[in-house]
Amino acid sequence: MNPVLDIIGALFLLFGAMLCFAASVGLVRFPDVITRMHAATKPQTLGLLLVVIGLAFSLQSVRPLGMLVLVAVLQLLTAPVAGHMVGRTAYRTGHLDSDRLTPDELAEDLAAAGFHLDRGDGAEGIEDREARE
Amino acid sequence: MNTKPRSGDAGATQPRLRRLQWRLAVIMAIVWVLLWGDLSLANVASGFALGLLIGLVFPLPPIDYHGRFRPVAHARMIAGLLFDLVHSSVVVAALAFRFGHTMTNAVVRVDLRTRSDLYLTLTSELICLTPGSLVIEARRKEGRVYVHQMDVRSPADIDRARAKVLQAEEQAIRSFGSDDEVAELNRESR
Repeated sequence: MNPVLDIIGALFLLFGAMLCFAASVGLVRFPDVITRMHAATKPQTLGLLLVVIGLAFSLQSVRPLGMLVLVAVLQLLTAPVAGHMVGRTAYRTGHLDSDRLTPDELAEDLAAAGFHLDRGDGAEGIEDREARE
Repeated sequence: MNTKPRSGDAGATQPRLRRLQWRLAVIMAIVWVLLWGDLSLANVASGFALGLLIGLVFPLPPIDYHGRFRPVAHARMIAGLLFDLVHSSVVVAALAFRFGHTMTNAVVRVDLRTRSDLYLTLTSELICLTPGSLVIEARRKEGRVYVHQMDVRSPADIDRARAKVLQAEEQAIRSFGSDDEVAELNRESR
């Protein structure tokens, strides 16, 4: 075991863990679903990448490298897709703070095309639905 | 509206492939071997068989692809992606710890230059990892994306978000596009 590589690995793990922590704080503190997805896609992805690099330094063997590369690549490919799907659904079901959305060009285009997203005064959030049931 | 070069035929829904997809199976075999962490004949064979099965059970529409892979531009794209990822992580992490600040967000419409499914996918993936933006809606027929931009303070921020999307598309075209498409880009930037 090489102590220098161990220290480098530990530093990467530490920074990765800090970024994942920041992502979870964002997940709790951000105002609506879409902004929360920002926290879940960006610092979280980099945090995981740093953890993977840290693992590569501290394990110091060749065999797990393939899996680590796979973890990193799949994370980079899938995190945006997951963020997109959740964000899209949140937008369509009205789970967003539309007062803080200026401008909202998707809503303008949808309105021009004759679609109406039920939001604002008539919006039914999860809380309303739960209260009724 | 219809002046955009059509590099992929994204208009009509294409029939999904109903035959054995060898390339997919090879990729799946590589992934399978990486997952198990050792290269044995049984692993390669089972990964390959699984790949064939996935290709048959979950067929994807074919990618209409005329370009070629450009390593230098691709390396530049990856480097830009990593830089953006670090930048955006820091920005979003800083926002998470910021108290007493009400965020204003925006949804911005961006019309892409091309209408290829491949570039649309790549561009969306790249955008998601750039500071404060997330694709919430993509239209493949019109080659248009709607981007949710976080913490917008001025109209300049919106212009920047729009420019960033087009830049991501440019990177995608430069690393995978055909000669014509790259020439088109060069003409445009001149």
